Amino acid sequence: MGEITDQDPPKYVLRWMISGSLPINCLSCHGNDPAQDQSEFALQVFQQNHRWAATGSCPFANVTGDASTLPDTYDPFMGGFSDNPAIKPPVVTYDKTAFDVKGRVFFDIVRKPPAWRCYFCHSTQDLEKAGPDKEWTRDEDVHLQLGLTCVDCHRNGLDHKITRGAVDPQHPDHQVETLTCEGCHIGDPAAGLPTAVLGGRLGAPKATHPGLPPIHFEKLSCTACHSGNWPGKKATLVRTSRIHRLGLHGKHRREEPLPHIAAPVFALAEDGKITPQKMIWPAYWAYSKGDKVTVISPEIIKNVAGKVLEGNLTEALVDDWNSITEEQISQTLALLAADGGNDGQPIYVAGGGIYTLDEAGKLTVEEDDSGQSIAQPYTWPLAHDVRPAAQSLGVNGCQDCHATDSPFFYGEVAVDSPVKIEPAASIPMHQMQGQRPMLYVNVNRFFKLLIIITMSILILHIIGDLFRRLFRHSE
Amino acid sequence: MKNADLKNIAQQQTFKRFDLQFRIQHMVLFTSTITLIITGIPLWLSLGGPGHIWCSQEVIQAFGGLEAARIIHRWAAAVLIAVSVYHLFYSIISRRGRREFIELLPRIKDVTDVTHNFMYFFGLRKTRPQFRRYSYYEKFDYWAVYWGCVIMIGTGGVLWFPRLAEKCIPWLSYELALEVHADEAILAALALFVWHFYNVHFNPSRFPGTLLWWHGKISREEMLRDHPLELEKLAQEGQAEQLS
Repeated sequence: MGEITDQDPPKYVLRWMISGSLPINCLSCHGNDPAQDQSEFALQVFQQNHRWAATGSCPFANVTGDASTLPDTYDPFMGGFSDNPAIKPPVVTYDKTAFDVKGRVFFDIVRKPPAWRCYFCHSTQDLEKAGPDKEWTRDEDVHLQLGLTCVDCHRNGLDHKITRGAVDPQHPDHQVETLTCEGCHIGDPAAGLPTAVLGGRLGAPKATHPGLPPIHFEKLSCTACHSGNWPGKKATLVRTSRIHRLGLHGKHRREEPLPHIAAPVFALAEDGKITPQKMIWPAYWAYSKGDKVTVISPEIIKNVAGKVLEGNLTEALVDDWNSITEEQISQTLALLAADGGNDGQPIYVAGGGIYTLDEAGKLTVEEDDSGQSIAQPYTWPLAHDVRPAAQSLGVNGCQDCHATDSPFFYGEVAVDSPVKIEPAASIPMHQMQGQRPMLYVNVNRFFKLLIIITMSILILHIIGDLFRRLFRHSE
Repeated sequence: MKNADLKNIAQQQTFKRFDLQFRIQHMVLFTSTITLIITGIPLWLSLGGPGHIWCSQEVIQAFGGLEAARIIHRWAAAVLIAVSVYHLFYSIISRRGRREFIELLPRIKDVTDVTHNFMYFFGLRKTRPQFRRYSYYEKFDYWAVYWGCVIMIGTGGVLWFPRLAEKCIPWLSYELALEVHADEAILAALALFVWHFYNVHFNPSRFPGTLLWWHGKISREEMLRDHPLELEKLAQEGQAEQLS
């Protein structure tokens, strides 16, 4: 999981020797003991106690000491520095009560990890809960409610290439397609096993989708209708285990929603299907030279423009960002331009816009929603929690999505930026789906006009003809 | 028209306007079109979205449900495509078809007939314009069907075979085709039930309707009123036959 590589600079070689490689902690998944402490594993890693981290997370062992305090010259096999209290070599002590009379300890390990093992790293927490809709009132994934566990679908062999629930063309085993939504609920005609062709694995009900035009299966992923919270008028903020370090001692603070993740956002995925996704708006400083964009590290920004950017720490926050003004952006870009040399033009990316200084030194913002812009938000698909069929989009009819007020097309996604924007900007979901609603609206208007004009002339003709026939004698 | 008919034009009380071929094509056309309109309504109502009407599931179920409507709609579309292609070949290969096609081509006289007729409606002219075999509004009906078929079959094909359409005509997206298909269908339905039906069934000279589409025959009185130049032409051809 972590070890020295050929690309590491020489100064890291000694550190790796002290910390040791970071092996994969099998107990992270296969440990069935509730006392298995993954948070402790993370804390051990923070302290560079790599070779001790897995042991430290076990309920029957305790690791004290901090490898990060050890100098590069420390020999972990020889020890030393015992009289220096600032230097704390890692030490393992075992809980003797955990061992039986024969000196053995019971390893509570399972082949199939329980779902709560997965939750430590794969949880999502809703931040915006108002009124009666609170997180504890929401239902768990329907598969789990019905007795399945995560690894019933997300399987792997000894190679531990865990299937993700979507068809992965890179996976060597074609059989894995049967572990997708379609594979279990519809069947895979191309699968090798007869049972896989039939579908219905693990008792999965057969999906018939009566009356649904087949185009939906080409345009939408299964998760678009079946996963995540029922879409509301706007995408809400969430936190995730891996980004926000939920559950880690000292790292998870309820008051810190940054980085902001919006979900669900119905956007085009890499396979071209509209998929519910989580989304982050990038905000960073960079140098732009031709097609190449080089991100500038926060340390360099602090060194170059620290005085400019830190002056507003006591100012009012934009949501929970430390707000940044356009004046600060201008000054920072100017400083970066002076410092950057030939690295390119300095830019600031935030809220979907690219801030630059023009030749006259004036700040300009370029907004490019083509989908190829470096300022475009980063998205990744979400697949859980899966709602029951009776709660899928479309259960109320086509108007769940095909309506002028449907969240699917017209739900709002806030444009997240540390730059204070008044009024607060947002974009509609359809902008993330490659739709061209104005084109369709204009086509609709054109035809409406055509109908009105054509029928007006025809009806006028009819009236004129009627009038002559009924009230005047034709010659 | 046969030689014997031409010689007796002056005494003839009914004329054969449309032969069996034409009538069968017309029957197949209107059967498929009306089926398409009826089955298209629930499909259109379920669209939702800007510019469209929302309706409840009960209304859609009253039409038999979306799935059944779609299947019948596609069968009727196949029939429409078949009769359109047949008519195209008929108009090119058959001598009679070519003659009818030429008669249906727009002419300068049609433009003058339009203005003449509107002036007649407003009392600015005392007499109606005199029409040949096809009046300008019959030609409008014919070419409107051409226009409608091209658009409806084209966009319908995109909706029926979206993957193939994406490869062949990527600029015509599914959504755009759907928008054009639905809107043109409204125009076609209105033109059919309001304009065409008035002209052939509901106008006072023909009310409650004509069976011309069935037996293909038109009375002398109708010929004199609606196609006097055609009658004149037939009479001239009849005299020419007699002389020859």
